[in-house]
Amino acid sequence: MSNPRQRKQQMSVLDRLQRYLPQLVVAPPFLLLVFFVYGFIAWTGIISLTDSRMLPSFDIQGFQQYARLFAMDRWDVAFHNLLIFGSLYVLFALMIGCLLAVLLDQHIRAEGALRTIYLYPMAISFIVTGTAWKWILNPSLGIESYMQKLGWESFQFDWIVNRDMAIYVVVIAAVWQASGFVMALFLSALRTVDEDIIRAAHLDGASTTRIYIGIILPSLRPVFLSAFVILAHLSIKSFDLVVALTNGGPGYSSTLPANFMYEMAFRRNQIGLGAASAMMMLATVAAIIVPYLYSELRAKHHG
Amino acid sequence: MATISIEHASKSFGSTEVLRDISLDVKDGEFLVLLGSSGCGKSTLLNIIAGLDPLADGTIRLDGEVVNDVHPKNRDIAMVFQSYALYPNMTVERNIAFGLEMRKYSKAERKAAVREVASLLQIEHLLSRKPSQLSGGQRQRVAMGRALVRRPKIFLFDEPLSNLDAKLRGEMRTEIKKLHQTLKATMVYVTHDQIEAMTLADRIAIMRDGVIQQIGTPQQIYSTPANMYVAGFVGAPPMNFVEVELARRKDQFGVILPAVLKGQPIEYFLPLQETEQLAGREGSKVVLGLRPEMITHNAFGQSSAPEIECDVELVEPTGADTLCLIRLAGQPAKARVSPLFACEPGESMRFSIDTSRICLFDGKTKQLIG
Repeated sequence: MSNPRQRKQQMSVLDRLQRYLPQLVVAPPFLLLVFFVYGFIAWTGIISLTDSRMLPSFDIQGFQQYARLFAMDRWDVAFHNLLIFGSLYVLFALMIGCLLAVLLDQHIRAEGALRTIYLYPMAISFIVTGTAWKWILNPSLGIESYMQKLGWESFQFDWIVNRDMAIYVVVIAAVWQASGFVMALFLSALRTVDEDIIRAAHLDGASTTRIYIGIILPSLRPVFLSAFVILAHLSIKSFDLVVALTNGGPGYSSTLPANFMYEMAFRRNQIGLGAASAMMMLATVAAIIVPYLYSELRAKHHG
Repeated sequence: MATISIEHASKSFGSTEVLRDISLDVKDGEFLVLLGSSGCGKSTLLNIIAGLDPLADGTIRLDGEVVNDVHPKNRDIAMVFQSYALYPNMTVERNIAFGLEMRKYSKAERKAAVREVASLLQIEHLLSRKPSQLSGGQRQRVAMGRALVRRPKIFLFDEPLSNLDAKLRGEMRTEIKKLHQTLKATMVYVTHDQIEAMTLADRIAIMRDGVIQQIGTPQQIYSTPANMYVAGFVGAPPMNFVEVELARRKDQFGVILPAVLKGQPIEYFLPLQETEQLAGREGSKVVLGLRPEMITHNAFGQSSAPEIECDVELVEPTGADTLCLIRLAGQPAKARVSPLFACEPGESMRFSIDTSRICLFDGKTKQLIG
């Protein structure tokens, strides 16, 4: 038997270990996160202020790269595309996902199978989605040639090779992929709605449409918000879908900022310009996320 | 006028029968309570009256008119739910007015109706709040307001008080009773709480496994329960059941009641009125139903009442009365005595037994036989 004093010391070492264990476990991932995420955000921010071309330099030039960026038609097109793509993608994915969820919520048969079918596209990589839709929409391979072979000679659906319409093709493929996910979000929320509320509304004389539009969907506001934030940031960082589907073409008519950034930073030896465009994307994401986080944290503080 | 008449109603969910051949009449202005433990089908029956669940078999009439296929909104019925089921995105005012809004009342009419109901329920100061900002009791009042505002023919209540704390439940119970007296509307009220049922009801229908066990006034249900289930369900503490033997002693018909006195078994003879149903059954076993208040201290007991003396195992003071745990025919039984006369646990005490109100049940069928 060890004497009591020694035991007491052993205990206190164990006690101390127990007290600091959470910090010890959490610290390394936290440091890695700080370094690789926030560290590199800061680094990118610094690079965007320099005249870096093929290799990073630290010769601070102020906002010269940003001035160049905004003067480029290519960036203009990319950012304009982001506005079209982002708004249509979020809008249609929300609308279709919500509609599917409401329809599936009517206690229909084979609900489980249908739910899986709708959710499945989310499990596919953007590259696969892009490639498949590229073939489907290719005028000489896909829908257009199929309809023409069926005898509808004047049928035309050539958006994918049309400069003005190519970005809408990206919207179609992206909405197809995300709607099922939005549906799953809404469906799980719909299932938490107290069934008595629906019964009470029926007794009050409201139609089913009215019950959904007037009572149930408004009470799902937090889900709308979460879905919006998820879709919005997905749309801003969209990259691989464009690469697989149109490769930014025809010309650069369907590029998005992420494609622009990749093109400049890794293919054209314009690291400074690429970093500046990356910072612009970060600013766009922040414009959406920060108000969301602010409202969420504030709500929690009050609650 | 608002009467409800249900004939041979049956309903199953999948393979479970929830309602089996239920027939029930509710008179105009009557307060009927459907009482039973959870899963007995009482809520389903209420939903069928409301039209929220379709009826598989049978007919349901409101005011003599068959309404099996009439949509809930056209039945002129309002319902208060256990979860209150308030619309979370609307203010209290809109919650109450929603039914009127759907029925195309003008804004001014709606406003006036809401004001009237709000002052009746004393919730005027809450009208601009959202349900999430209300306490349980306040939500309960809003839910009542939503039902009242339409002035429906029939009110349905689905366990409206079970989410409230005991004190509030008592207050709301009184208010519901007052409301019924003022409105004189037909009300059907579902509960598993026998005190609510006893205090509120004009008539109680006790249900079990989708079958109505007994319908009657609270007093009928209490004093002449149709079977042992009803007898055990109503009354707190519940009726004591003692298995005894029918016998005849010195030409007197009665039962033999084994008890324990000073640790020794002892047999008492309780004389009973010999009814037609009981005649000739001497020697057979029956179940004696004794409510705790039928076994009481003998100071104020009727002098002619039979008395027993037995050991008291445990004493539970409740304030107004004290409950003494005794042992009859090997079974624990409770006696209700005045605290002034209660003895210490372990001592023995004389009880007088009110044989005029005793219930006798058949041990096998569990039905009342005398």
